Amino acid sequence: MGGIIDLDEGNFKHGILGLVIALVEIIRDALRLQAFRRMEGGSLAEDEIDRLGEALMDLDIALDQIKQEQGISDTVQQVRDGLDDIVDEILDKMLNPDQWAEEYDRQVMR
Amino acid sequence: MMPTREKHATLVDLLDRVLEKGLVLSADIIISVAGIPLIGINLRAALAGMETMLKYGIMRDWDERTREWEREQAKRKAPPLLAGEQVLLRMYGAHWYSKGIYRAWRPGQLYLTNRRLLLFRKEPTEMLFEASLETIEGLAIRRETHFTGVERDMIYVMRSPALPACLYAERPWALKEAIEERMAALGLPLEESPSISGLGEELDRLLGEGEKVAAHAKMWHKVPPAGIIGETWRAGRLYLTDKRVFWWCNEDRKALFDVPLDQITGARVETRDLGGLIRERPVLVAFCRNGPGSAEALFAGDELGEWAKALGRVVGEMETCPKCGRPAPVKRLLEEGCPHCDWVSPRPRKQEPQAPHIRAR
Repeated sequence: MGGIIDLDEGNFKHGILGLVIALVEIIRDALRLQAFRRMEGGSLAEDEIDRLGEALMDLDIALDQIKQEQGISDTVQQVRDGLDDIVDEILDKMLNPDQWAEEYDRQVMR
Repeated sequence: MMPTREKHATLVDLLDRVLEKGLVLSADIIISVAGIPLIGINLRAALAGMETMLKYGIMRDWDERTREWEREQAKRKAPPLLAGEQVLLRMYGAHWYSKGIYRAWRPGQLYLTNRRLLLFRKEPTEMLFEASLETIEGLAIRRETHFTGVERDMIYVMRSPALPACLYAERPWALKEAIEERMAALGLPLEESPSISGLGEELDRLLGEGEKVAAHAKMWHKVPPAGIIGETWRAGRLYLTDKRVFWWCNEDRKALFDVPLDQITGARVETRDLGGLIRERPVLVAFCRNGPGSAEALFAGDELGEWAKALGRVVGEMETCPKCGRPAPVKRLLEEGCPHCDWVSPRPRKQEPQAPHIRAR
């Protein structure tokens, strides 16, 4: 499988921190989508929606601040792209078994 | 027409899809040794977004309860703020509440907003202390010994005409700085290093309306016998105010000697045998009226001479009426007579012809 998360080898600390922040961002995005679902679901009261929005916004601000302070915005983006590529590839293979054959053929041809 | 897949699925998309559809794991496991089952595991797990869970009727009550609890908490969490009021600083604190016989430390959350200083208690909900920044005249921090023996910095908030409010704060210096900063931003004046009355919190109620402490010092006092306890020297603090002299007993937390200034007839330093290991020692003897007779109160400490002088200044202007024996200002007695009885000073009559001459001087 070709997906490689390429951590910035020059600065290990940056890499680790970038990885952690990237994971937190992914969780945040998932939570945000769920929050939208709940808001659309219509069971939440007005003030609950306000509080939820405020809390998510606080998290956004905090994450942006950390990224800026540590100068890891690029690293985080890199990690996220890397993870997304892996997911994309896995799903692609699961959903398109034809590709397995193609890839197998390519390897044999080599 | 072919089904197409959106290119570039991301991890977030994957998570979202999983949570939206929900994931159910169901497993039965038996761990056996030598063909004999020993441990059974029956695993039922479901993972889904809350909206999906609710759709299937799972955790519906729990969801309601959680939100209900949070709603209740949110109501209690924050103190009622005015429109446009913002919290600048928050910390744990307490206020020394003293009203009549009820006196206690009341703890809560201290809030400094852009307009007020608040001490708010969540449970039961009550505003324990509230001061608009405009009414604050001065701030002072004083190190005091807590009854547990720990020294703590107390913050005193001066407001007139109320007595200084004594507050305990988690970070008193940070709070003081923040208040000063905010008041400066509002252009409100703040008294530079104001003086606290010099009294601890228990003593506040001892002072009458507008009564001012002129001097106070650590003093030992010979306490007259009471009950089964005989005459003893006890540690405390002597206070001279503009109305009276009283001595605060450290141990009993109350004033055991409390005499109005007009009852004091004199004071001097004498050397007395205090008994026990301390033999001869200078003591401050304060003479005060006690019914028709006179009583003496003994104090021991530093700068007794100064105290004798201070008390002397106070009583020097008082004298007893030669007829009824009640105290009156010397000047009044000499120039007119006794304010309590019909005794008239002989001087006005005698000095009458000379009066213009005195005025001319």
